[in-house]
Order: sequence, then C-alpha cells, then structure tokens
Amino acid sequence: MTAEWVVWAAAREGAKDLEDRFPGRWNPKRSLHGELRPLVQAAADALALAGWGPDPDTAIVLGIDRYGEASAAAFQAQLRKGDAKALRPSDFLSSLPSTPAATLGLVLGLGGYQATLVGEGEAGERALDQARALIRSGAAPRALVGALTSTDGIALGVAACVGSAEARIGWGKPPSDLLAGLPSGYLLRAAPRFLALVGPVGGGVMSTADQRMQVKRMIVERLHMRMDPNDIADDAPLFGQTGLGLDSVDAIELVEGIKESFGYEFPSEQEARKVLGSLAQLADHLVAQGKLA
Amino acid sequence: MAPAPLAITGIGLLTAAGEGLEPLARAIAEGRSCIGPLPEEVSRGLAHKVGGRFPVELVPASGPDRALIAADRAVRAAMADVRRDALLVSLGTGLGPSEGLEQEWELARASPAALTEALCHGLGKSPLGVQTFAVTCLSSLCSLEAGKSVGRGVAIGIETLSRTIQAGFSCLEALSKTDGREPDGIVLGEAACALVLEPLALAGSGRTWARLVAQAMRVDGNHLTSPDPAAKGLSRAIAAALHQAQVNARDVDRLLLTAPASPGYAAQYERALGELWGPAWRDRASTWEGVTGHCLGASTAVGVAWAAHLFATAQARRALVLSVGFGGQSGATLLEGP
Repeated sequence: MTAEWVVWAAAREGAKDLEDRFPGRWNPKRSLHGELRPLVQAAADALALAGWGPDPDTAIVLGIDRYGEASAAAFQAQLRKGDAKALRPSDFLSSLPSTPAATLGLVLGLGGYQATLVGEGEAGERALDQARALIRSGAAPRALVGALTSTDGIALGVAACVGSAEARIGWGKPPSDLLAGLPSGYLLRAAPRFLALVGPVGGGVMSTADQRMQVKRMIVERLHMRMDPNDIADDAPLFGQTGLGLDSVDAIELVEGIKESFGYEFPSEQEARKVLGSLAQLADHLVAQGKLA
Repeated sequence: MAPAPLAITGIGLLTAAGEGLEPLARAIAEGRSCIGPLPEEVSRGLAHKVGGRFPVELVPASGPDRALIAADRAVRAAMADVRRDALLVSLGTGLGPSEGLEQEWELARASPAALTEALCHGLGKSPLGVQTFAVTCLSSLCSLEAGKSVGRGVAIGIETLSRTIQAGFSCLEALSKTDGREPDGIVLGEAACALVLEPLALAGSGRTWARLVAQAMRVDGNHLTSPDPAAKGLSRAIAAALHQAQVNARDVDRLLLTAPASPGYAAQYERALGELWGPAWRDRASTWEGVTGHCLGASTAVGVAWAAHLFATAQARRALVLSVGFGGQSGATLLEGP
C-alpha cells in the first residue's frame, strides 16, 4: 500500500462551539486547553473533509516544536515556592509533549498507534515520515498527522489525513490569516513548514519528480549511501562504473528494499535486470505496477 | 503473512542496579531493591522521597547533562559489537533532561530533541534519520517502532529523575505512599537503554540477543490519566501484536509488565491478561520494576533488554513486553529468542 495525502486543514484558533462537536467524548462544559484549540479545530476539519469518524485503528502522529511553555513555567514557579500542595496537576499535564496527541485521541475517538515527535521546526515533517512508514509497514491503516507550534499566546495547528492512495478525496484551504500578523522572526515553525509540505501538492497525485524522489530516498536509506537523494540523476545507470556504481551485493539489498518499501517483488531475475537500469526506469516500472501512485 | 522479524544485535543498559543486564539479574535473583532515598535537590518539599537513581560512579549525581551522559553510555555499549552504522537514531523520553528547567529555565537545553542532537554529536554519528519521541511511558516503544520501520537503527529509551518529574507524578497522586512496600502506586526509576536493530539477514555472525517479532500500540480513549477499567486498549494492543506475528497466546511463555504497582494498571492487567491466559496468567508474569522503579519513557526498551536476558539464560523462548501510559495508551512488544 502506498501512503498518500488525503485532505488537510489548518487553523489559528478553534471555533467557539468546538467543544460541542464531540458529545460523549469531551464534556462541552470543560474547555479544551487554549493552546490545543487550533490543532483540534484543524484535525476535526481534516477528518470531516475526509469523511473519517471515530475509529479504533486510525493512528495519530504529531510533530511539535513549541508547546506547553506557559504551563511548564507555572509549574516551575510553584515548585520553586516549595509548596507541594499548590502544584496543579493540570499544569504538569499541559506541559507534557504527549498531551496534544492524547487529547486528540480522546475527543476524536481515534484509538490506533499514537506518537508525538518533538524538534525545532522539522517535527511536522518527521511526523509525516513516521506516519507514512507506519502505513507502509501495515502497523496502521491510516493516520491523522498534525503539527502544532505554540508560544506567547499564538498557536497554529495543521492536520492532514494520510491513507492509501485509493482513499484520496479532496483538499482543504488554510484560513487566509493563518500566518498574517506574526511578529517578524517569530519562532513558529513546525506548523508552517508542515503546511508548506501538505499545502502545495495539488490534485492528490504525486508528480513524477516526487515519485522518483521517493525511490531515491529508499535507495539512499537502504544502501546506507552517504549522499543527498537529490544528487541522483534520474537517468544515471544504477550499476556499473558510471552513475551510482552499485554492485551485486547492493542489488540483493535493493531488490529487498523495493519489496519492503513498495510491496513489489520482481517475478524473475531477467525482469529485475531490465528494470534496474536507471532510477527513472525503476520508478516508472513501480508506477506502472500500481506500487507508486 | 507475518512481517519479517528484526534482530536485536546490541544492548546497552543503565539502571539503578548498575550497567548492563548482569547487575539487574543479580539484584532480581537476590530479591534486592535498588530503590533508595532521592537527593534533597530532587525530593525537596515533596511527600515522596524515594526512587531508583543511577549509581553515581556511572552518572553524576546532579547536573542538567545526566540524561545525555547516561544515554551516551548506553549507546556506546550497544554499538560496541555492531559493525554497521545505524541508519536511524530514534530516542524516546517522557520529559527529556528536565533538570535543565529547574536550574536555569533553559528551554533549548531542556528539550528532548536537543538531547538527541547532543547525543549524536557526542557520538560522532550522522545517521540519515534522527527522531525524538515524547510519548510519556510509551516513548521507547515509539522509538523502537521507528527503528523497525527503517530496519537498521538504534532505538533508545532514556529517563532521569528530576524534581519536576517527581513533583508531577506526586501531584497526580500516582506515586506509592509506602515507598513501594505495597502496590499502592509506582516508584519512579532512572534508565537508559539502547537497542540496535538490524534485519536478521544482516545480523551475520555477530550476536543476536532477540528477535523483535511484532509490536502494536492502541489507545482506549477513556481519560487523559485514568486507565480504562475494561482494559480495551490493552486487550486490543495484545491482540494486534499476536495477530501480526500469527502467534497464539498460549505460546507466549513470559509476560513482562510495566507499572504493575499502579492500582489502575494492575486492574487492567488483571482484566486483559485474565481474559487471554486465564487465572494462571500470573505464573507467566514478572517485572523488574521492584529493583529499578518504573522507568517511564524508557520502560519498553528496558523490558526488551530484560526479555533478551531471559532468552540468553534459557528462561524463556517467547516474551511479551506490555507497556501502559497516560492518555489510555497501551503497547505490546513480542520478542523471541534468537
């Protein structure tokens, strides 16, 4: 199964009636933590666009760069005072990086694999990579992938539904003011970078360049090559003294990598020799076989 | 078809019992707990004052770099006999080096991701992928899952005990009021565990400690902190892992439990394991946490290391490590002897 974008949505705040949308799962009398409202809004919108509902197997993978700083600071302030009884459990919980994903699981009723990746800026992309790997390996049938970045009272949330190529449905649009009015140099990166990744891809079909890049990445990772996948020319020979210069041991590893990454097994050695001429030949063959959408 | 298992070809472990599996095995055999009084800088003003800390000869007693030092030590030990470089370094930690928060409110230094970067820098490693998971007590399960999907990596679980963590779990009333003498709550413990994962075919003539056969994680969606009494998530995680591996429950001879001293999780185990293995499930169940304390984000990785020890000493052929955490998360990691 090839993982593919389905729909995405982005938000800078949550609708006033956001809590009311999850009767039975979230007490509408209880407010969602302020920093989580954009993420919950984006996730709810993305799920609605995809037509996905509560499901025990759908995974959630989030990337977070800034979150929970005010809660962590409040907890530290109480801790410094030395009054253990004044410590608020909600401050501790709201400072944990895992709380946004756990909250999404609770309100949206998604019960599959659930993980949060943390990092400066790139966490959303890594979450996306992890979700695609989960789907490819069969560990999850589909995933809600998101990015959250929040500091100094400004929060951004982006969410995308990622499933099999067959499940492609449509696309969301970011609110026009999503990034407007942010102070210059503001440290909000994970969500905008994630948005840049999911936003520009149109029509739900990967471009030929994207398809080939996916194969290049697989080759570099599988063969432990210390080179940028971008440096592999589409028409360069994979084997021999020119081009990539792979040898027979690499060939075995490559065939195994194609099997694991794309679910394609060469029917014969002759067929493999024919297809493994160049990167472009290999990618085109996988597309023709319906293994690379 | 069941997915191809991966070989665990290197293990590095630090716990309150010491470095490696032997000290932990000795302490368990002797019925000796390594849990002790926490330093004043950790327990000051808190009602709960015990935990499992790294021995000071391995990791300094204080300082914001304790997590880095422990993780570095574990990775070096795990990679010592491995010839191939890891393609991916994936680190799982609940809160990371949170000592940094207390000492100087230095966000960058206290970040879990900064810990992974500093670790790779110190090791001189530049893997193709670096990932940091912060998924409370299932953090190292996620780092293992990431390593599994790449096929060649080092998965790390790391947790150190800071005042922030001790205070957080104390105010959530999750800690034992009897310092672990009764199963009335968990006692926290430190651990750093690194596991090298390679495809079986590449493991070659080096040592294979265990085979990682299947892994699953499910969420019950009951409450942010309270486990679901019906144990739906745990039952589904176990079922998914067994299904992936096409293994029958009766063929699992050891159940390795994390956080069984928590009354809420104990009730979950009772329900889920009782349904699958009957009343005799306890005969298969054990934990190392009486020696080390509950190792939070490092728990799954420590469980995998402990399973490898059971295989090496012919005490088990197939083991299931069970992980539980906030948000109703449950995980099941199925391992077989080499």
